[in-house]
Amino acid sequence: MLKIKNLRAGIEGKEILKGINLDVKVGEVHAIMGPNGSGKSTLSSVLAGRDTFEVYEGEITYNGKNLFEFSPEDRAREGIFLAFQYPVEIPGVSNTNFMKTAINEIRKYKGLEPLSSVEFLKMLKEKAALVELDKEMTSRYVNVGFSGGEKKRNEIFQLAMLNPLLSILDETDSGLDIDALKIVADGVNKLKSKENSFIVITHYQRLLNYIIPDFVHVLNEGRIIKSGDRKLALELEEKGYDWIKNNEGIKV
Amino acid sequence: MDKNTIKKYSGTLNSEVKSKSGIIESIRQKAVTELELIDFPDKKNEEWKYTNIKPLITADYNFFSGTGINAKDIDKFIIPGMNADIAVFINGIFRNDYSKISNGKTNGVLIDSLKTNYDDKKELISKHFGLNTDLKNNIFTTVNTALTNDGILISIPDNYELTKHLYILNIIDSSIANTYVNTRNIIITGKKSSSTIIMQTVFNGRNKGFINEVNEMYAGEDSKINLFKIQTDKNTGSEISLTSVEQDGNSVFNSVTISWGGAFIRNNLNSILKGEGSECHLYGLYICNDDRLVDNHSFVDHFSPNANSNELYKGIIADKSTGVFNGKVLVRKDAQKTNAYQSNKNILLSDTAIIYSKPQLEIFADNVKCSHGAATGQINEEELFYIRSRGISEKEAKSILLTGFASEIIEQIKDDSLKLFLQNSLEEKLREIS
Repeated sequence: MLKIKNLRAGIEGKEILKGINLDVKVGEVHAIMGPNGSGKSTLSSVLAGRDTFEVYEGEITYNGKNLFEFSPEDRAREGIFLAFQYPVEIPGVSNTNFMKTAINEIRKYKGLEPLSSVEFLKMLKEKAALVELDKEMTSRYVNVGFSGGEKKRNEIFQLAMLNPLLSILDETDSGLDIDALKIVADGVNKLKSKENSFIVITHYQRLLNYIIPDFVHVLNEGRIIKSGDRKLALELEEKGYDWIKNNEGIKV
Repeated sequence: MDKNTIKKYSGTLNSEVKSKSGIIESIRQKAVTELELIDFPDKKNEEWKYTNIKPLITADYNFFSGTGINAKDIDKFIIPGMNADIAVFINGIFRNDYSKISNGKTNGVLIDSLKTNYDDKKELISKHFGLNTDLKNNIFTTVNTALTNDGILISIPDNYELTKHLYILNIIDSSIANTYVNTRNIIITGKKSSSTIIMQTVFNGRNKGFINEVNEMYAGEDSKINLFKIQTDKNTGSEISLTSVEQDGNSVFNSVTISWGGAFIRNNLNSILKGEGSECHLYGLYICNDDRLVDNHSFVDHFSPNANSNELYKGIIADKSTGVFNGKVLVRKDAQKTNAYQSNKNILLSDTAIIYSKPQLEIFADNVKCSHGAATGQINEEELFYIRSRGISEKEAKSILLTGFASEIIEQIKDDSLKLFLQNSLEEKLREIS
């Protein structure tokens, strides 16, 4: 589904990602772990098409197509979704209208008719229930006045609404208490299927107790220095990032 | 348009649109005398520094312009669905045939043409006419007074709630020639009364249209006035207005001014908080594109203690257009415990768009809470990216953000039909500029 080959990218000429290789297949969950400043958020921004980041080298193919040829909106229309680490507040725009516009633009891209209001509202109700987002929150302005936990739940709600093929969760667990974390993880687990894939970016192992990854990659100073299965995450939790930094180069 | 033409036409009015008592003639004459002493402002005048009126006043206008509009055309100018009485003016003259005022002369309410009441309401007029309009410093007010002809005269009695809104539609029809329109509205509301007034300007015709409007309002004790001023017409035309509101104790004045039509708009809005505990809420939304100009000058005058003023104007400036916001808040010595808040926010959409924003606060009392500020920026890239990352095109994302920016003001319109009309009109305008 997603193939990253030797990706070098950064911001304002400063290289942050120094040769990333990653292969995500349909139905897989990949966790990317790493200390602060290792390049986790840069990777998610590059995948979503944020143009403040520059790509110096390498390629990313998504379902066989060159991802760099797609604008951010076309990436979303092709099925890529980024759950933001810091979701943006949009005063004056209701969650409901925002999602309706997004869904219908995606449908238009696919040559489908817009959803009827009845269909849309039915879907809205279902998906909101999935992340325990109450009705009042769907009619509020996007993320305005939401708590940290509510913002993250709203990201997963949007994910549920747009039903992407590849979801990137950028530190969705940061700032969440354990109850909110469970709600978010439960939501993701319900959305997980054989047809879609997830990249879960996180600093801590905690989230991975709830969203079980098939693969774990450790990112450090812009490189994936170790890959393994779920056990790697547990080991990291126990021994800390220094352990792996000191053993750099040893592949499991 | 020059002073001699104005004087000549004022004389014509004196011989053709007369009052038996001579009340209007003397009002006009006084203004003509003042006119001798002042000139049209140029850029050296602080109040007109950024607003070039030269193209406006160098044109020749018909003062008595005919109209090609007839009954079947009227509906297209009217905002549909409002539960409102409507007063239609074409080229400044009240049109009884197109107006529908269900309660214009019962229960002590007066809603009628000014011109037909020169004599019947002589005392009411002489008591209020020109009380808060400066003839020495704002020449357009002086011109308006010298050319006093028609407008609306409203008097709402004490304890009366105007259940239907009053919708004043000013049609400027320049289909025959360049047309200057003069309109003078006087609105007096009694104690504990409440009223909602919608004022809309629309332009028709290919020649130049220019309306010079003066609204004098008096809000009685504990009364409430909502004033929605709608300047959103697609046709080009020019508008200069002065709205001055004198407020008695505990009265509330809510004003929302929406301006994205015409080619040139200058609004002066003065709220005089005379009575203790009075309050005003002044909202404005302006959008300019091409080489249009919208200039909002507001003045809040805190005379008395415990009064509140709250002002928020927002602007979107595109292309080579110009926005001007000049908001002055004066807190006089006796106006202790004043709360005054003022804010102006702008989004510039191009490198050639200009906003001149000048919030001013002058405080002479020592126990007050006042704040003011201005912020001008561009569309937030982070917000734009967030929206696009959900599959929404850049153009649509911009439009969503601008709609969101504008909605804070649109929300202040407390009439669902009018709000819907504005939301649709806004959508169309944003599509045009983004």
